[in-house]
Amino acid sequence: MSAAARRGRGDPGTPTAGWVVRIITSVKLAVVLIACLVAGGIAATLVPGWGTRFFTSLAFLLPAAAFFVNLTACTIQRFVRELRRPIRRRHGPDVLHLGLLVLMVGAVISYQGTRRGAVNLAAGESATLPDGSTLTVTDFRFDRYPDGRPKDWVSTLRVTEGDVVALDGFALRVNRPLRRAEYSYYQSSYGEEWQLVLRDIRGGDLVLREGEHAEIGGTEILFMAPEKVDGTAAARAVVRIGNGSEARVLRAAAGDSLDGAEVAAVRSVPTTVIEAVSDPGWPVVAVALVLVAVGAALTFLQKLREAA
Amino acid sequence: MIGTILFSVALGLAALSAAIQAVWLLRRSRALDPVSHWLLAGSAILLAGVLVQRSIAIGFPALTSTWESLAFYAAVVAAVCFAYRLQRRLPYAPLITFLATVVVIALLLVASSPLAPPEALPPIPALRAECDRITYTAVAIGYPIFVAGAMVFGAIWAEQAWGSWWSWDPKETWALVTVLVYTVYLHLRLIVKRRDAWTAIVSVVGFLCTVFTFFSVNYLLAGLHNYG
Repeated sequence: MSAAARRGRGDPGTPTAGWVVRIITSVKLAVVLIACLVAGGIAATLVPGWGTRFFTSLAFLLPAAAFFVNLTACTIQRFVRELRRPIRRRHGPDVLHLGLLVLMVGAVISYQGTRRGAVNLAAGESATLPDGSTLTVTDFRFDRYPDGRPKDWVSTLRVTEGDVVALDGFALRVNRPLRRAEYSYYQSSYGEEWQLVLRDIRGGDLVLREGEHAEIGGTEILFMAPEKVDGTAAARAVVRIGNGSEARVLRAAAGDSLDGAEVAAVRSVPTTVIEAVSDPGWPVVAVALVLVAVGAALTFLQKLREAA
Repeated sequence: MIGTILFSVALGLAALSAAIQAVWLLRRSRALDPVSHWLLAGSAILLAGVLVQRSIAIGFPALTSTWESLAFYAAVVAAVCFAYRLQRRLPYAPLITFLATVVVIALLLVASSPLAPPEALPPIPALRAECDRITYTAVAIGYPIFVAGAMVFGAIWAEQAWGSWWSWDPKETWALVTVLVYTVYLHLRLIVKRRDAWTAIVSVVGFLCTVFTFFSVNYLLAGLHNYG
């Protein structure tokens, strides 16, 4: 075939460019790259120490990037070829391939831009959300099956913006996140929190969490830690009374008197772990998944129609 | 000849394993016998060896005759018994392994009977075409269902439950590996001429990946999906 004829069929004019185009639009290259990704995926799960780190290494990212380029070229080439067909155009694989490309873009955006953090709150405690509003856990329930296995964790939430209650009584569950503005909040886990309850001379209670301090009657009291005997937390608190050279550390149990206050309780309370996630790639990944599902269905239906 | 000897030894190992397990069950001892599962592993390896040897001999994956299917199922059951004995996540029930070993022996006895001629013969042309067509049809139906069900809806569920579409958890990674292997299968059909050889091999690899994803990941690899 002459060069002019090749150009007439849409091939690039120079032999080098033609060779490059043939390579990057090669289905054989796609198969080889997919095989590399398969081998990498298998190795990552079986080789001790590799794990998820492998998927951020060049050994994975390079073939993945090459696959992205190859898939882009193949998709364009295939789409154009289908458009030129007068009848029985099959765009299912094109949609599926487009979905995969969008998915890879979404994955990169998601990986680069996702922000996440978690708070550990007991019932009655609050945390400030990234948008400035306040999230309060009004109740936390840990349901179990009769044999003791976890059944459900439910955090009942209230969100206030200043003095205005924006949301109240929302039951946050494992499969029911709370979506507010750019953040989603997930029932991530549960835990426990040790509290030191101090009662001042007027009878008012003050709750200190581990690491928190308060001033009572002019004396600073720091709840350092629950006392642990043989690795098990006992109902005594290690506290620091006072500051600087005057400070002293002592152990206190319920009923003990500290300077200006009485220890009302040293207790463990269940806490809910709520994870906040902001994923800028969310809409892109969602669109990609729709495209992949539609593409897979279209491909299947078109094949079915041809078989019939 | 070698195949027959290996097959007979495999049957013998399975029978010996069943006998040892029976003795241990009758003794009602809490201790587990230290040998029977290794005998089953040996049996599985020998049967796999027989199938590989036959595949080389006929130049085609040796899974086309009744004899080969029985030997294959027996090898898979024996291998699963071995993995079940070694795993630590599930409570181990010796009776289950014993019953499965009886199934292995039954499969091998049927393979030894006149019901299943043991000759290693290449598949007839119609069967070659039929095998290819059946495999392709199965993959063509299963692939979009798996892509939509496991990958798409799985990712949506993961985002809903954990706030992350994808975590490179072993189960997720192996599900992706399975999809990619079948992707290779579908694309190989577009580019290779000898479909019956390469595509058949890739489809068997895909099946093994499916089984590994479904069962073995739960028992061998720790991750988010170890709740079943």
